[in-house]
Amino acid sequence: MPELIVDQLTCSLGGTTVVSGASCTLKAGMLTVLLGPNGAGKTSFVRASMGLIGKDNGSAKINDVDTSTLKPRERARLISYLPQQRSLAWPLTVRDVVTLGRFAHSAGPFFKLRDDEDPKDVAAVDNAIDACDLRALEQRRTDCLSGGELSRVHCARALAAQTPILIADEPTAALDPRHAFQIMDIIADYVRRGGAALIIMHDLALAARYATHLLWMRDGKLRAQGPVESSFTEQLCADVYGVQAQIDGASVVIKGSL
Amino acid sequence: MTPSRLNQGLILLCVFAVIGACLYGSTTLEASRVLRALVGGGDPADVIVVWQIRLPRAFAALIVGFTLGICGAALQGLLRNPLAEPGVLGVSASAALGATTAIYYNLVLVSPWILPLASIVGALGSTALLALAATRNAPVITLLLIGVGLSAFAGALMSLLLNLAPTPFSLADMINWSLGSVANRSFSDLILASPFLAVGIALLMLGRSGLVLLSLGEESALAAGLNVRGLRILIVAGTGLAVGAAVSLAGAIGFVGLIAPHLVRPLVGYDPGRTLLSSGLLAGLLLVLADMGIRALHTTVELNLGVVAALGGAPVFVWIILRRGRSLA
Repeated sequence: MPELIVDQLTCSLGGTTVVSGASCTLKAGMLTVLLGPNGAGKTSFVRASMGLIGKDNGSAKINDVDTSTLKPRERARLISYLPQQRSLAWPLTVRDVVTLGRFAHSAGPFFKLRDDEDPKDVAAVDNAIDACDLRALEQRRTDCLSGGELSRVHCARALAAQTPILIADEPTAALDPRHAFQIMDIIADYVRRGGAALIIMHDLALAARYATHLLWMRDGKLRAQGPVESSFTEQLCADVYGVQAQIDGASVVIKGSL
Repeated sequence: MTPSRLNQGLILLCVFAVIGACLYGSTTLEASRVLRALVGGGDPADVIVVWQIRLPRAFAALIVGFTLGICGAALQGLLRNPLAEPGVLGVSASAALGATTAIYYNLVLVSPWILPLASIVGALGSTALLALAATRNAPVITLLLIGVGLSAFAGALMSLLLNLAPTPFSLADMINWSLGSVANRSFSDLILASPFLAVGIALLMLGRSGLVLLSLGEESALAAGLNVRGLRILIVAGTGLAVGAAVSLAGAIGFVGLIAPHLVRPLVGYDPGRTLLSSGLLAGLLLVLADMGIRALHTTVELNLGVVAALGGAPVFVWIILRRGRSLA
C-alpha cells in the first residue's frame, strides 16, 4: 500500500514560516490524529504534504514521488482530501455529490453526473453511500440536509474515491457528539479495511478514543508524535494546548486552562 | 423531464420561433408565400425579404442569445454564483467598446475581421481581470462591483470616443452598441462571427465536467483531481471569444445570460455542466421572441433588443439578490 512520507517539511504563507521541519509517515492501518491549537499550522502542514501548496524545504513523497509534482488527477487517486471549507455552490442531490468523488477515476472531460457511469464508479458510490448510512437520503437535495447529514455526505464523497490515503481537516467540527462519533466510526472503518487516515481535530477525548497515532503541533513544529498509548499525556496537553488535563487510559477530563 | 428531453423541447421551440419570426414583419406576407420563399421558390421579392431580412435577423437573435446563455451559465459555474453574467460583469460593455473603437477609428477598413477581433480583445481583457480577482478569493460582491466599474469605464471611454473619433459618431450609434440590436444583420455578418463563436462555445463545453466538480469549491475540486487553473483559462478564453463575437454581431445585450441559467437550473437538477446547453437554447429562444415583440410594437423608433432584455432581466437580477440576501458575500 502507498505510504505518505513527509520529511523535514517547511512551508510559509505570505512570507511567514507556518510549518518548520515537520516529519511524519502515514501507513495503512494507521489512524493518525493531528492535534494543535488554532493557528498552529495544521492545515498548512496537510496542504503542503499533499502538494496543494508549495513548500520551502523538505519533501513529501508517495511511492518515492514528491506530491507537489503530481498532476491533480494522479494525486486525487492516491489521496482524498476533505478540507475544512466544505462549500456546495449548487443544491445537487446527495448521490451527485458522492459521485463527484469519482472524478479522478472517470473519463475526465467527459465526466457526467447521472448517466453513462462506469459500473465500477456506481459500485464505489453505492459502497460509500452505505458506509455513511445515506441510502435513505440518496435523492435528497443537499440544501435540505442537517449539518450532521451534510458532513456524512462529504465523508462519503471522500470515501467514494477509494484512495489508499484519506486526509480530513476537522471533519467533526460543529457536530454534536453522536454525529461526531458517526463520522469517526466511518473513518475508523476505512482504516480497518486498510486505509491510512490523517485527521485534524481539537476534541482530545475523541482523538484518544479513535486514534492509533497522534501528532502534536504547536507554532508550526511537531512537538511530539507516536502511538496513542505513549503520546497521549497530561504534559503534552499542557504544552500544546495550554490546558490542565487529567488522563486515565483513553478517557480525558479537561480541568481548565493553564 | 430529463435534461435531454428538455433540450429536444427547446430546440423544437427555437425552430418554431425562427419560422414565426420569418412569417411576421413590416411587409405583410401570407404564410404560404413565406414558406415557399423559405425553400427558395415563389416570388423573388419574397425570397429577398425572407432570406436577406427576416431569416438573418432571426438567426442573429438566436445565435447571440444561445451564446450569451451558455456564457452566463459558464461564468456562473466558474464563479459559483447565480449573479454572474457577461452583461452584469461588464464583459459585454468592454467588448462593445472594442468594437466601437475598431469602427470609429476606421480599423475595420483594413479588414472586416478586425471588428470581431477588437470586440474579443475587449471581452477577453475584462474576463481575465474578473478571473484574476476570483483567484484571489475575492467575494462575489467584489466581482459584481468590478463589473459595475468595468461597465462604467467602458461607457465613459465610449463617450470619449464620441468626442474624439475621426469618423462621425452619433448618440444613436452608441445606443445601438450599448443596448444591442439585431436589426439589419446579414448572413455575411453571421459568417464573420461564427468561427469565434464556434471555438469559444467549444471551449466552454469542454469545461462542463470541471464546472460540475467546482461545485465543491476550488480547494476540494483541486484535491479531487480538477486542474482548476486549466479550467479557469478554458472558461475565460471561451467566454472572451464567444461574448466578443456575439457583441460584434449585436452589441451588448444584458441579462439574458442571467435569466436563462436561472430558469433552466432546477430543470437539470442543478447540474452546472448540464445548465450550459439548456440555458443557451432557452436564451436563444427568448431573444428571438423578444425581437419579434419589438417588431410587433411598431414604435416610431424601433426599440433596442437590449432594452427589452433589460426590462425582463433586471428585475430578475434584483429578485435573485433579495432572495439570496446574506449569502451574497
